[in-house]
Amino acid sequence: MERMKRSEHHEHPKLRWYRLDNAAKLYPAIESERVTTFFRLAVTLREKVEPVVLQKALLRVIDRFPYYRVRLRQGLFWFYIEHNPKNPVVEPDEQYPCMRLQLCKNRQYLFRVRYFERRIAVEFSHTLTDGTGGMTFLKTLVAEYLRLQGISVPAEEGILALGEFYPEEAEDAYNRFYKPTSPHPDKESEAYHLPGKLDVKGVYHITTGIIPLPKILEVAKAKSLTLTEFLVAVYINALQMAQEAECVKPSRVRPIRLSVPINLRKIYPSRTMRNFSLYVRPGIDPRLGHYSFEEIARAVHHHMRAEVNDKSVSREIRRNVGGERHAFVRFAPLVIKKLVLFIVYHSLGEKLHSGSLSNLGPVRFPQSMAEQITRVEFIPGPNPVNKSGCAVVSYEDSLYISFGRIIRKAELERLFFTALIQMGIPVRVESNQ
Amino acid sequence: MAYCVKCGVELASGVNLCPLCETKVVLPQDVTGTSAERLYPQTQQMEREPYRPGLFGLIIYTIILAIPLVLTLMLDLKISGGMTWSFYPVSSLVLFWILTVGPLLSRKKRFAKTITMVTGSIALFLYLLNGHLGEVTWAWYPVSALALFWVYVGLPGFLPVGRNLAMFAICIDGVLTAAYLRFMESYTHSGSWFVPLALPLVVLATTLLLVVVFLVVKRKLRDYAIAAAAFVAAGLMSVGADLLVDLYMRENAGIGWSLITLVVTSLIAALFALVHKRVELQVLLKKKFHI
Repeated sequence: MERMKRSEHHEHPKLRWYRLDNAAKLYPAIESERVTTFFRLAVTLREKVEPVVLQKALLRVIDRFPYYRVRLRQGLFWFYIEHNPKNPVVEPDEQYPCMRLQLCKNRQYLFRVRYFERRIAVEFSHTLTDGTGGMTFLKTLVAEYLRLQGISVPAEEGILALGEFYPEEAEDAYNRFYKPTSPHPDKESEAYHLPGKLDVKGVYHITTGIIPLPKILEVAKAKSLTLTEFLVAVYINALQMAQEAECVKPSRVRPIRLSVPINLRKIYPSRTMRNFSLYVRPGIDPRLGHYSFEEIARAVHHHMRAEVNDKSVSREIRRNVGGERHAFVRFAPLVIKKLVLFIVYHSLGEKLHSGSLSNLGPVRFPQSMAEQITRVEFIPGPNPVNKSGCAVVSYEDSLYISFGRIIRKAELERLFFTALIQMGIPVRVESNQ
Repeated sequence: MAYCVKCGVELASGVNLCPLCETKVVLPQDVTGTSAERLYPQTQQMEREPYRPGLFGLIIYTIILAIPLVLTLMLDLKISGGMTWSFYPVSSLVLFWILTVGPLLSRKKRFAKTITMVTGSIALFLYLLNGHLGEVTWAWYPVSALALFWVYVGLPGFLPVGRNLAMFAICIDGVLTAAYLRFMESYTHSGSWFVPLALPLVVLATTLLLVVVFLVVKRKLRDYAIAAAAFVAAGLMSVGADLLVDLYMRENAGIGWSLITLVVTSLIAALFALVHKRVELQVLLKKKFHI
């Protein structure tokens, strides 16, 4: 609680500033053209988007989120974010989402609001928040947009009411739930990565598969898996096939691990709108032999069950927050921190897993709003080591699985979606090519 | 057959207290009147001496140090009939023992007691060292310096804690510093510089310090204002020192070099005062320097 006070939410906007939360401290230091730290959330409406109205809605909504109405600044020891007096503006969409943000060209904001035809999208940097926070912002923004169109939308189902504010929304929940007596997590070895030369900088291929939700739930349930576990198993299976197709020597075969973010707000009580998620890493070791789908499913199921709880997660928190609080780290000047973090992240950061799957879960809107929304999307940010990542969200009766890749070939996506089809699940595929 | 009213467990017959929660057992009557079967006999082992860890190690250590001490002493007594060269090993060993064992002995007021033991034993050692060779001459310098050091660092540890502790300690420090300087003046036969120079300097420093600490204790100065006041006091001290030294050396007072220090300290004090007044500057400092 004492830490919360120090970067307290000041009454005066001009004096308002926030320390970065534990996860966010990493991103400004590692940000580059290949690692943009952005992710994207979008809704598609029934009518074409009117930019003027959207801009008006954004201006009304932005002050409800003072921890997003910020600009990034450098202190002697750490980055921090402070109140941004300029107004944010909406912009038209581009072919390749989640690309690098030049702060000076974006009025210093760390998020973008984009529109195209009937779609409204927000792209957030992980410096600000994670998928849950971003989705809450998007919902509130679209609700206000619809209200300006004359549709009355109540502040329910995750939409924040304008005018209220809770200081707990700005807290660094990792520091709050840090337990210095927890042990560190186990060390892991380097994982398998997809081969392939990276495409030109600035190009990001998105492949979205749209799947009827009841059908896929039925298939998952038949195998006694949750939807996330099922998708993780299919993904790992696809990676296994990719590694086998590479015909690597037996000594070069590496474990396959997926990084699956867990929303810690479901484990610890917190209303924070900043980052509050950590990763579990289910996987298989093909050095032990070829895994059938059932074996993969079993490994994933038991790993998730064993690791998704407050005790296992506290170990990760211990390592991350403990690292932040170490005297050598705290007192190292920011210049040194930036250099060290950049080097360490770009050489080791993503090596421990082969890909990522982020499942935001079912998205619900109030009835009056749901009538206007046809589709929801969640697109992960680019990753040069894993080359490809996956983000999942479901709305009404459809599941939207989006892959983002920076290599040219869509081999992994092909293996993934054809595996689903072979299990009897129909898939409609779209891409931004 | 009885049950514990708190835990709900069944208890053996004749038991008075629940072995789990020590709640008294409520028996309407002693069950069947027979005495309960004892599970263990009544006899107990002989009581053992309480084990004090560390004492054994301490004794061994003392013996190890005592051996060369006794040896050298006895040799010296035998050969020279008195303590001559053995003074050095004996006194060094005793000093070494005090310095290593002293800090371990007490728990309460450990710091103050350690400082006292260390300064006292070193002062005594040097005094005896000097005295061993003849008349006590140079030893007064380190002894008096150590005594003053003890007054600054060790004495406050023994004074009763309170809001006025700081001010009281500063007063004592000032008086005893003046006494030390007076003693130095007479012992070194270096003329009379105490009254014209040393005394006013000590009085000025003590007064300035007292004023600042008084304001802090009375909560008239907070946060950055304390730093500003400290720099102002430093500036005034330098001016006072300049005037006094000039008076003593040349019989005419004039502000020379202290102008520079005055300007610099005033600037720094003004900066701190500005930060103290302006909240935006305090927030800016926190933003830039937070760790």
